[in-house]
Amino acid sequence: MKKQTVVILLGLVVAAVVYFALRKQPAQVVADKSLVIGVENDVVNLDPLKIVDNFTLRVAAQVCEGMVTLDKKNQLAPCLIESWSANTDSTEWRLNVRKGVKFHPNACFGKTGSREMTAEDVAYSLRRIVSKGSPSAFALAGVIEGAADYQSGKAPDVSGIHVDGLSVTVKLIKPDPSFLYRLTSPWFAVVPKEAVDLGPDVFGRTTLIGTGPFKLVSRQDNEVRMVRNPDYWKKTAGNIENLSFRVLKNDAIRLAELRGEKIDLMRLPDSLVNEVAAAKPTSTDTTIQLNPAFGGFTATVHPVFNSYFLGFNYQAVPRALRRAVSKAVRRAEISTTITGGLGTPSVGPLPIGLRGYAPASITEWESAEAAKAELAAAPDVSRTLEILVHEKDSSEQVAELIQSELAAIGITVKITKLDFNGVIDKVLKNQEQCFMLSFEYVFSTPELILSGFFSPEAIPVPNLFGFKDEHFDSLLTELAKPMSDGKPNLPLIRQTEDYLIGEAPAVFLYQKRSAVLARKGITGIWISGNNILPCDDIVLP
Amino acid sequence: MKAKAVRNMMLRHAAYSASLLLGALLLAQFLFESVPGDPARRALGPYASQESVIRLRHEMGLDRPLVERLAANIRSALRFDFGHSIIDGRAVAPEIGEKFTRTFTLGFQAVTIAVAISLLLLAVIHFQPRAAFLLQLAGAPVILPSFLSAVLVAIGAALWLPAMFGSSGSSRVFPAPLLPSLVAAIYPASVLATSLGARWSALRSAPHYRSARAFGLSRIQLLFRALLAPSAPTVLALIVSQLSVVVFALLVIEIIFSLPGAGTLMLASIQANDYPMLQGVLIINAFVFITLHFLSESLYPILDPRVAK
Repeated sequence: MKKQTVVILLGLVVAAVVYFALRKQPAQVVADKSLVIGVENDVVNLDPLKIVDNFTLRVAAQVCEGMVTLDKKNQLAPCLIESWSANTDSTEWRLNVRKGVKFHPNACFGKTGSREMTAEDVAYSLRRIVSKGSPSAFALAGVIEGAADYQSGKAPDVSGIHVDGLSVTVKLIKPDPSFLYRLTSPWFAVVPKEAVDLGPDVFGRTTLIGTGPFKLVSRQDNEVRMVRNPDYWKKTAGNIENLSFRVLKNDAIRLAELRGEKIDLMRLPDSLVNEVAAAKPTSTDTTIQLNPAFGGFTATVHPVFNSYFLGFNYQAVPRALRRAVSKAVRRAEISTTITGGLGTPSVGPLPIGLRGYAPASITEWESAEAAKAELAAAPDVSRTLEILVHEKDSSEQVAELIQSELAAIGITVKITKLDFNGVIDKVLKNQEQCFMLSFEYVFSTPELILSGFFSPEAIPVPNLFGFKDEHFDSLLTELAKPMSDGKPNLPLIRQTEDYLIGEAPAVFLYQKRSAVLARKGITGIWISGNNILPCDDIVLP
Repeated sequence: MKAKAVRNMMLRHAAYSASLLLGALLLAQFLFESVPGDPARRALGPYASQESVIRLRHEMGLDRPLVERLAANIRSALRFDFGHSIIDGRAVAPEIGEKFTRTFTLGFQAVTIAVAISLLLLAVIHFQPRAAFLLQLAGAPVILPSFLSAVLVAIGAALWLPAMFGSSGSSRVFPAPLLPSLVAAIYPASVLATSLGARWSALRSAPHYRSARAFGLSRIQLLFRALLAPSAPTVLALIVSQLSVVVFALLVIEIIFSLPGAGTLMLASIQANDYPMLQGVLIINAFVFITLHFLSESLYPILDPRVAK
């Protein structure tokens, strides 16, 4: 090699070394007990009120907390409300605010730097939830007295919310013994007014103030950093000091980052189950047996509140055809094929894990013979159906499986693919016969799910089926009556769900569990029915 | 006379660019209007009440006549005022500014890398003509699409490289993440190296090169005086034109590397049905590409006035 070549190459090497050496290194947030979680979606805004997807809510839930929450058995548990009481007909609720809970420090609190959470904060947050433009308003707007008027701008305040010292009194329009089960999601978080007043370009974007176990350090669309809140009111088992969420949208890249030890934990999507699992998990497995290449990892499976279904236009598709379809499909096969074993076949809409809920029997309902008998009893009914599918939830693949199963009983299915919003648009205009969709439930009690999604008041949304039935409504009315012991009326819930299955406004197919893939030695991982992983319970080795 | 020719050509290009921009504005409006369904319903999601949808329709001005909306949109676009996101209320213009700055930083880094690689390759073959076979190889990476090379590089980095090169580009050593800019640099590096290589081959047999050698100029002097100096206008124009190629590739590369930038913002706006944001991204995108096109078209007559004739 000529002298000049050597000189040029050496010069480049020296320049690179000098550049690297002189460049200021970034401040290191990461210390000993750090956990990095790989997530699949951009984190654009962490303000709980602005969140419209569960991915972002899982991140925000580490900083902000709600009034009540769910425990490991998915039972109602106190959080920022430490106790409560209701009048005899459950129309007036007194919520007693937990004392000694401090908001995360921030300049918005002035010289004090922080302050204790008060009943005013709870009342403010409730008003905010039912305010104009709030995507979560549906949970409370038709429930709290005066909320609808406040939302529409007809009233300056919510007449049904009053602060009394350390308590907040909430008056409801009608009896609701499950009122607090509406609020178990961290979506309904308590936030301080001073922080929200910083404006939409700050609160949720660069600042997030809550009372939770972690404080926000920084938020970028592709990375969120948090540190432990030393003043957290609850004693927790976890030992994480620094918590990061790194956005890695591509499933294969996220898995490679985990294998390369760049991240410690990730949700396991359906698409990767076959790659990591030695055998497909069954619907009762709580762990996944991993193949030898993933010997340094563990995978756990957790039931969450959702339902995947084929919905009908209740008015347009005859009862006999709806029932025949519902009886003909083989849920177990669809669930296993689509979810890689993460799904649990289900004939009804109520998720597993709800307050003592025992799933309805699939074997008693599913039967090709019974499906044929339904059709034979209605010879004039058309044997053709059009299913609208979209880009989400493997809906096209599910529809194809249904198509092949229905062909066996003489029903011809045409599959039409639109974008997700196109499908919703057609459904809202009643221009569809059938559609593939899923519900991720915010409510955590059977009564609320049955009335919230299938009552006539819920038409057109979220009762997208347009389902309306007098007998079902009378069952819902019975369900709304409080039990003397405060426990759910399980026989009546079963009866109501069975009736719904029989009327078939939808063919409920399966519920999907959430799986977590983590480095071996990380313990304390659990996921609530709301699909939230509380990181303050995670213990690093 | 030459200056007048250049000015006329610039004016022609400016008029052409302005008409392209107007077309982009009309196209963005057409796309917005032609998507089936109610934009307000799409934005608020399937579970929003009808009252909320009607209110948002009013706030978005969807209940006004089309011509009025179009005029308002053009006025807003010319002022770079795209309003606020209908999803979370953040101002659109600063968000777009921040994301495009990131994309451009990445793009400039990619082009710098591409120039460095191609000049290095040129220097190697100039001082070591036996390595000229590298020129044949330089054209090969063009066949590898960016989205594929991005996935391969990201997975490889995740598995084998230290965390500072992590696929999400958390390294702060360079102005922009290194790996995505390396992937984006592949195509322009290939084009530049091929172009410079061809000039180098032609130069070696040119009489002035042989004369220069006969006068005793060293190889390094030959490289700068006989090859790089005369090639500068072409290379500069090539760099500007490659910048638009790089920015376009980055729209995809950003999504694969999960980097916040113009590409991911556009995808997120589409997914969230955030129309003010999407409209802003589309218009600024069009503005950027038209400006780059204008620059690259205008550079030639400035650098070489013969073209303007």
